[in-house]
Amino acid sequence: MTAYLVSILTFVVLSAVLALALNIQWGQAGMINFGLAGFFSIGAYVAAILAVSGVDPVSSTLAAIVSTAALSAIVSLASVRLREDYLAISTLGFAEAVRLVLLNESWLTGGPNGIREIPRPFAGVLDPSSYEVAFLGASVLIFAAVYVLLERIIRSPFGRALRTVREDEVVAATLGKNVLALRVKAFAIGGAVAGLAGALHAFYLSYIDPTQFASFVTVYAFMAVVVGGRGSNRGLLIGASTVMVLLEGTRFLKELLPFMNAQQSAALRLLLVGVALILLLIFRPGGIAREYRLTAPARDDAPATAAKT
Amino acid sequence: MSRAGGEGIRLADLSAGYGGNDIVRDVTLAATASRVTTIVGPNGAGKSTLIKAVAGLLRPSKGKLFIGEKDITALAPAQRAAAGLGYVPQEHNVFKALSIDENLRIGFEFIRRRGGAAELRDARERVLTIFPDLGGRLNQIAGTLSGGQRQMLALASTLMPSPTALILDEPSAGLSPRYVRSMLDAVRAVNRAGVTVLMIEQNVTEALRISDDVVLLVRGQVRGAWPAGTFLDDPDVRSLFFHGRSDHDSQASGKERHHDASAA
Amino acid sequence: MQALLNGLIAGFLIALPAIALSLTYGVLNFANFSIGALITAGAYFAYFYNVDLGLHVLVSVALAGVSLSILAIVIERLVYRPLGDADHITLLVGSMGVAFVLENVIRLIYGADVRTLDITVSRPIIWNDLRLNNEQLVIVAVAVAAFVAVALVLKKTSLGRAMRATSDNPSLAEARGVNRRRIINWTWALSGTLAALAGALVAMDATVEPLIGTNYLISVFAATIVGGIGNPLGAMAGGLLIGIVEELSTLAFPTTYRQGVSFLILVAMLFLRPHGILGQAKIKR
Repeated sequence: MTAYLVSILTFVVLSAVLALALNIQWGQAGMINFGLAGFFSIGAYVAAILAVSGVDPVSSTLAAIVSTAALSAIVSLASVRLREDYLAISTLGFAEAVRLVLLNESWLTGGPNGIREIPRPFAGVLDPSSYEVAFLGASVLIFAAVYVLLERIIRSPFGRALRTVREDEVVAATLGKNVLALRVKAFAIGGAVAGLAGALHAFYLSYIDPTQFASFVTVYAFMAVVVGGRGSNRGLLIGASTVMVLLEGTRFLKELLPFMNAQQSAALRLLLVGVALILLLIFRPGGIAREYRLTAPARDDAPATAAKT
Repeated sequence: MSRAGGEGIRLADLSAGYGGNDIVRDVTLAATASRVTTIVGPNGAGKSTLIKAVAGLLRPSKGKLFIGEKDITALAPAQRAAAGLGYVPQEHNVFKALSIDENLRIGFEFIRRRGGAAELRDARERVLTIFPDLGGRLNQIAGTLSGGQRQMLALASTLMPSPTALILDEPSAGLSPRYVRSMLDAVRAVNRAGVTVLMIEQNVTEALRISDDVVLLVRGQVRGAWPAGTFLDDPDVRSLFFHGRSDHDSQASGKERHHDASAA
Repeated sequence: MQALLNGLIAGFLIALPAIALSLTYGVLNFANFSIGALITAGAYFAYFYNVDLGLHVLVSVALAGVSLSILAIVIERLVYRPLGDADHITLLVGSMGVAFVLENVIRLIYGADVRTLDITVSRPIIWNDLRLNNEQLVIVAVAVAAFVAVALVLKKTSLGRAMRATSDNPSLAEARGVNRRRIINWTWALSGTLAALAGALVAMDATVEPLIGTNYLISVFAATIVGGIGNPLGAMAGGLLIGIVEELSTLAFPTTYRQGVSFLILVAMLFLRPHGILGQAKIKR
């Protein structure tokens, strides 16, 4: 039972890290990334390929972060001056292209079989039976570190400039803000965090293949961000937990509906997540988490207007 | 002299604004049937807000609006159009991607839904008589027209469904002097055909040339109504315009002043 | 030369959803990400009518078109209308949600197996070394007919004028008496029909599986952007162009990277000429 709990919690934390990435890009900078799963997968694969070739886990992770950040910057460059729809289209296209590469370039990525036996970081140092818990602990620390870092960025002049751009681009430009640079930077920062999440994912599972990075990853991240209240990092853990609860909860549907095969019940569960996302967008676009912050001081940097967008 | 056909526009205690703040307050005025009434006032007086409220783009916070005897306060812009109110906005007033002919057709076909091809033809002929310049370029895309021609097209489109009353938001805005005259002449021609006109204008001189009645709006409130001919002669007008109150008026500044039409 | 012909056929298949995308973008002002899922739904509707109900394949294609136009209106009522005047990023995310739900409903009902429509296999026509089979002829015929129909509606009918007017200036259109609700419904209906036809035709020509639509998504977006987003008739040209380029690229690169080629074209267009070769403005924020 504890093992189950530990694994669930680890997934929640890793999803929350990915949601942090989306929160910077979408919540703070107003940039739609429909290809999040693609960047996530690049982080995972870069880390995995390097680790399997003998590179130590820290460097592998750093490489993952740098590559995703760079790719994010490049992908956003083309559409950053245009409407959000275009970035959404480009990122989706990018994710598709990545998926094709992952599936076909078996010499590099293992193709549909993926990469196995990714060495677990510091496995030799710890007692195997407590490794899982240690990993969970490390993930929580990493999440906390990223959280703090991102909060500082949000409260910095950079963060304020970003929000100005999000609210009214024309005003921001008149104030002398370099809109292009701000947006690309924000997108790259988000990309870096997504790469980190990917690397952690690879190290946790020890085995990755393309099916783990399908569009549902992106949908889950969006849900976590919407539930948590777009722009607010505080709500993200709640958001990620909610998604997890929804997913795990619906696992029991299979018991209730035995006439469905495994594939169909999987489809049903994903379906329910999608419906939940739509319902949230319609009825609670500001997120659930916000409602509990009755005494939150006004110093929270996400302005009131973020709640209605 | 009265011209038959048009219906009067009447505002009763109308207040309207944006986001809960009223910009115009307690406006009561009447644009008499078949006459041209112009609302003038300094910048920021709320003229544009008032016209938008009459057009139906803004919900009034209080007050009523009538065309003839019909209460149109609760009607949406399209319904007001169907009730006979034509509105020419100041900008974005034509479909730039469509041709002149298509602009005219659209002006007609959704307001006079039951009108047939013959009625459309007649409407087009009628309108092109007032704007012959448009007739020679029916297939030209509206986006390629000059500013002045676009204003003409906007007015022409609004006239297609034969409105009984017309409201215009600064018809001369952004136009070269030549077009200012033509535009306002066109408005007068429309009025001579019997249509009531209520408009707001910055260009007071030109507006007075074609107006019958003038209403002064300062800081969201009506400060008086005059026949067009005597408006500039009234010594109080200057101070009302710039200071919102009359030098000679020893009473509270909100008092309206009305002048006998027979003095015109 | 065969590649050119195949590319043309593929192009017609891409053009139909591209026209649909341009229509909804113009009138509703957001990029509809569920277009891929709608294509898939069209294919499965065709399957349902053809295999489950046993109707003739051409009848099934037509019925699929009608069914999807109704479905599109229902989706609009359930999802996009309640979202109302949410900022249009929310609409984008909403459409992604719709795509996700649609795909999984299909998976739920039909599972992930690959299926085919019930068609009699016929001998291809061979002419001067070029092969063309019956299915491909039907594709061309349907696509051209659909294109002509859309063009006629847009240019000659009052509905078409109202759609173009709404696309150009929504508030003026309303002031001139255009019923926005009606236009929205018709736009979705048309869009749904086009997507369904594309899906049904793909099903006819190849197979029916849950991912067909998504496999087309990037090509469709590339075609729409090349033709100028918001320019439905340009989307036809865009579609044909992308189809041909993709097919020709398979002479040099592995076939699996077709969409990769379209992706590169897409990004290049965004850099160089975002309003497309034939399109017009409305792309700046």
